[in-house]
Parts: sequence; structure tokens; C-alpha cells
Amino acid sequence: MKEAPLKLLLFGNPNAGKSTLYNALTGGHARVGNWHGVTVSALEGEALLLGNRVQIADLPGVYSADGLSMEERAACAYLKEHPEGVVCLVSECAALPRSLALLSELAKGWRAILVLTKKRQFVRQGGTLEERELERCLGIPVVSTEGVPPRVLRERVGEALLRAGRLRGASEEGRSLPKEAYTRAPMRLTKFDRLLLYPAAAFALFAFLLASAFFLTFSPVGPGGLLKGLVEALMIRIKEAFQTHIPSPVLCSFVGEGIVGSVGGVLCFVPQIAMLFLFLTLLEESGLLSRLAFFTDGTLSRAGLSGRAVFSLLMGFGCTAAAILSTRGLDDKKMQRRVIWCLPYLSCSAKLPVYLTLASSFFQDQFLAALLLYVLGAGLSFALLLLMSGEKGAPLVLEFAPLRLPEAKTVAKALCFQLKQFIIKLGTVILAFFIASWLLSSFDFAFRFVPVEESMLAHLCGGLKWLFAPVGMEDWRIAYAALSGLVAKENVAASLELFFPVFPYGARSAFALAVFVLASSPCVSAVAAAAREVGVKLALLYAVAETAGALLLCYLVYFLTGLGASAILPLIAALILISVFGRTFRAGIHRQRGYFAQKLHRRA
Amino acid sequence: MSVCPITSLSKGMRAKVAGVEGDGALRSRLAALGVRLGEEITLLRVSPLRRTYLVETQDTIFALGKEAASCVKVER
Repeated sequence: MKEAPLKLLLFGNPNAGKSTLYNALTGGHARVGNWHGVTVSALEGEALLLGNRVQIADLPGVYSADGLSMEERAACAYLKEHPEGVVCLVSECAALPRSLALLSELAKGWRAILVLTKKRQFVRQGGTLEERELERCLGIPVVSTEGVPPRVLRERVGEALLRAGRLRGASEEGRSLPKEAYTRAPMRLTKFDRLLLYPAAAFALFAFLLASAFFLTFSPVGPGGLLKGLVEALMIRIKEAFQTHIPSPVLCSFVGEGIVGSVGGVLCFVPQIAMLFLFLTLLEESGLLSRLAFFTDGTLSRAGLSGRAVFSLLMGFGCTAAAILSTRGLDDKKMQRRVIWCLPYLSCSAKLPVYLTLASSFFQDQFLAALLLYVLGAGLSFALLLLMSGEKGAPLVLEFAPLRLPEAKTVAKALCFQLKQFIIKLGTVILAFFIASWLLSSFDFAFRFVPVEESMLAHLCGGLKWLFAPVGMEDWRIAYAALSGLVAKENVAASLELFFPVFPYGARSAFALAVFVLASSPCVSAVAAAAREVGVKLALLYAVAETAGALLLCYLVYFLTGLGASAILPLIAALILISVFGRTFRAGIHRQRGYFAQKLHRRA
Repeated sequence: MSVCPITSLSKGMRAKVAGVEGDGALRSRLAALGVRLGEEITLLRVSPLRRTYLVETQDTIFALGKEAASCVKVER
């Protein structure tokens, strides 16, 4: 009988499958992805293995003992702090020699067990592996996870844990394992992979994927649009059903406009948000993301980032908060800060309802309008990155995982997780916000049920009228709706639905408001995520600066749309040319001075 | 036999690693991926802007940014 609970430390290369193992053992659902940097900190949980309570820590991935990224250093430090734990080396079969070298370098004195993942893929590519032979020559228990259900896996790992021993043998890299135990099949490019490496083919594929993602999600004739229509119809029926059965005008208003109207209005967009997350997940699971990083590293370096950032940037289109959390895997803090700074301009999926609501006021085709705003946001963030002076970050070293067809089960699980998060967020933060705002807007200070103009909210927000006066909307309700986005972006659409069944202001104002929402500070959860990464002070500073900037941009856009297209296009073109050439010019000077080589050698 | 950085090779060329510069972190990262003295290395592709290099070693295939690639010295 053990007195202290056993401690199992999941350790290994990025993407080896540690998080999958963690979930199987503890029954939790840590976010798993085909990209390093998805485990953002050491996850600690408990599991019941063979009747013993075991504490399990899922550490971020480590490539080598002298870690390049902050995550790697954190993982190594955690290991040193827990010498009493048993190291569970999690390794893909294909990367076993490397992982063993890592183990002997970093965890020499620890007791260890070996868990092997992705055996089927390894065997399919021509490798061979015998667990019993491996156990004999390594001196530590070996468990393979391929095709093993979680319950059986828990038993096997629990049993291995009790037999944990110290790794036997030499510790230099590239140690050779006996042929009976292990033969390797190195990673090679498939025919499709080779084709994809031609820039034209890659560009065509990614452009096609992006375009189809947008079309399927936003177009009224695509599945996204059609599902949305269905949900809308359902919401209307529910609202009518309630309203015919409720006598009290107060309750009727609460249920009708308050709950069903606003919350329902946002629920309508869930199908489209689900589709966006689906595309992102497919890109991630198939391995196409590393190919994308290879091609985008050139352009992103111009902006002071590297190809590694492409995942965080793409995630920014799904959820800013999650994207900010994923920047943890980036190699250096300066680049991380720059990514966090520009992420809010990449419109997250919660801004989509707002764009679509406002789009009907200034564009015939909602699909085109949404696209325009997304492109504008991307352009804005790129311009911002170009302006911010960049020191070169850590160099890009990115391994290519084999391309594979995403497993339906994994994708479905990831998707359900994202949707669950979204709906929970909807349930708690937004509903609370709505009830509060309905209360404030339906009652006056004497708690009488009054129309909106006489409510508490009207008085409180009276002073905010002037905020949007320069763009033709001197209306406290607009100011209120726009600022409600600072709590959660979904609120803006819901507030607009609450106050204006039909948007009364013209096209220019609608567009200016959309631009404000695009550029303002992200929601509270994103600011909180940023605070975790760069500190509360800096996160709040970003939030304030972004909102102020958004307001100014909103005025500027209103002014420009008043000028007419003939003045804008040359202006924009001039701006783009200046920034591109300005940056290249500067880079040219640095290159001449051998700037890059110096920078590299100066790093300790 | 001349020693040059891998960035001066052309697509498809094979060479032997003659040295790895840069700081310790980068060197051990590269070593873990198969960039070790005397090992064979092939330059598979270069990105359109000549900023990223796709490299194949005995162990695996990976992409290198220009700074990292200039640290890998090969002899041909």
C-alpha cells in the first residue's frame, strides 16, 4: 500500500500524443492538436490506475535539453522539481531513438516507463517494432497505445507504472537499437506532398480551401446559410409560442425580446461558427498546416513573425482568446507580444453575427460584405505589424509530419469541444449581461416598467451619445451596443437585435460601426488570456489603446466613404506601397551590416 | 571540397554536414532532427521568396528559416 499518491509525468516530443494519453488516463478533455504549442501549460490531473490514485502531469512538448521555446524550458524545469515522480516517456514509434536520447539526457536518475503512439502509421510506412524485445533491451516497461481502448490502457499503464525502472544503456544520440526490437522507416514525402511543394499548386490548394470555407460558411445558399435560416425560423416559432401564453407584459417582454430575441439571435449563427471551427480543425488534423507555414514564413518574416505564428493567426479567426493562448508555443516573447497585439484585428467568429447584421445595411450580398471586413481586418493587422519595428525572432525550425486524412472521430470530438465552450460562454457571461441590460433598459430608477427611452440605461448612457455622433449615429443605444462588445463580442449583435429590429442608420454609418467592432479591444476572455501571457498591465493597455484606435478608425472610415471611391483607392495603394518598400529598404540595410548573423551569435 | 551554408545549394542537391553554427539551443534542436557532423542532408525545396528551406535528413524532413539554414554548413 503506497502512502503518497504516485506521480506520473508525461514527457516527450511535441505532438507525440501526450495529451491524447492524458485524456485517456484521466477522462478529461485537454485540447489536442496536430501542432506543438497546443498544451499551453502543465496540465495536472488525477487518474485511477489499477486501483491506485495516480497524479498525472501532461507537460508541453520538448525537443532537446537546451530548449528553444519557453514551453520547453518550462517542461524541463517541472521535471527537475518533481524527482519523486515516474517519467512516462511518450514517443511516436517513428521518433523513438530521438526520444530515448532525450530521456537519458534529461531524466537520467528517474524511474521511467515508455508509451508508444502511432504504431499503425509506423508499420504502414515500413517500420517494425517488438514491445517485448524493446523492454528487454531498455530495461523499462513498454506500452503501445494504438487501438487500445482507454479502460484497457489505464490498466496497462497502471501495471507498467508499478514495474517502472531506470533506462539501461548508453546515452548518446542516435543510439542503435537491436534489429529484433526496432527498425526504422524514416519520414519521406509522398507523391502528393511533392506536388504540394510547388508554389503554384500549394497556392491553388490553399486559396481553394479558404474560398470554399468562406463560401460554405457564409453564403446564403451554402450549408451554413441554410442551417442559419432553419434556426431563425425555429426561434421565431418559440417566441410566438411564449408570447401568446404569457399574460403579464413584463414577463412577456422579458421572455420575448429579452431571452428568445437576443440569445436566440446569436444562436442562429452557431451553425456558421461550427463550420469555421470545422475547417480549422481539418487543416490542423490533416497536417496541411506545416505546409502552409513553410510557404507563409517568407511573408510573415517581413512582418517580423515566422511561419510558426500562422496557426495562432488562423485560430484568431475562430476565437481570439484561444489564439492568444496558443501563442505560448512561440519561440520568443517579443514575437509573441506582436502576435497578441495584432490578433484582435483578425475577426473572431463572434464578430461574424455583428458583421452579418450590419452587412444587410450596406451591402447587397452578405457573403461579400463579410469577406470584405475579414480582408480589411487582415490588412490592418499586417499593416500594424509592418509598422512595429521588429528584431528578428528565433529562427524557424519546423518538422513536417506526414500528411494524413483527418480521423472523423478526432475532428468530431474537437468540434464538439469548441461548440460546447461557445455555448457555455453564451449561457453564462452573455445571458448574465443580457438580463442585466434588459433590467437596466426596461425599468427606470423607481423600478417601474417603462419604454427604453426613460429607462435607467438611457440615463446612464446619455453621456455616451457623442461617441458616435461624428459618424452620424448620435444614439446612446448604438454606443451601448458597441461598448457591450468589450464584454463579449456576441453581445453587440444581440444588443442591436434588442434595440433595433431593423437598423435605422444608413450604409456609411453601418460600415463605420462594423469597422469599430472590427478594430476594438477583444472580449473580456481574450483580454484575460492576454493578461496571462503578457501581464495584466500590458493587456489592459492594449485593450484601451485598441478601443481608442478603433474609434478613430471608425471616424476615418466614415470620412473616407464620404469622399467617394475615386479618392480612396489611390490613397490605399499609396499606403501599401510605402509600407512594403519602407520595410524592404530597412531590411536591406540590416542585411548589409550582417545584422542577422550578429543577432544569432549574440543569443546566449 | 568547399564548405558553404546550405542556403547556397540548389534544389535537390545532396551534401554532407560539415558544421553547425549558432547557439547551443539551435544546435541541439538541429542535431535532434538529424543534422549531425558527417550525416547526409538534402535540400528538397526553397520557398518562393528564398526565405524558407525544406531539408531532408536520415531522420526526418523539416523546414528551416533562412537564419537557421545559414547556420548549417555543408561540404560538396
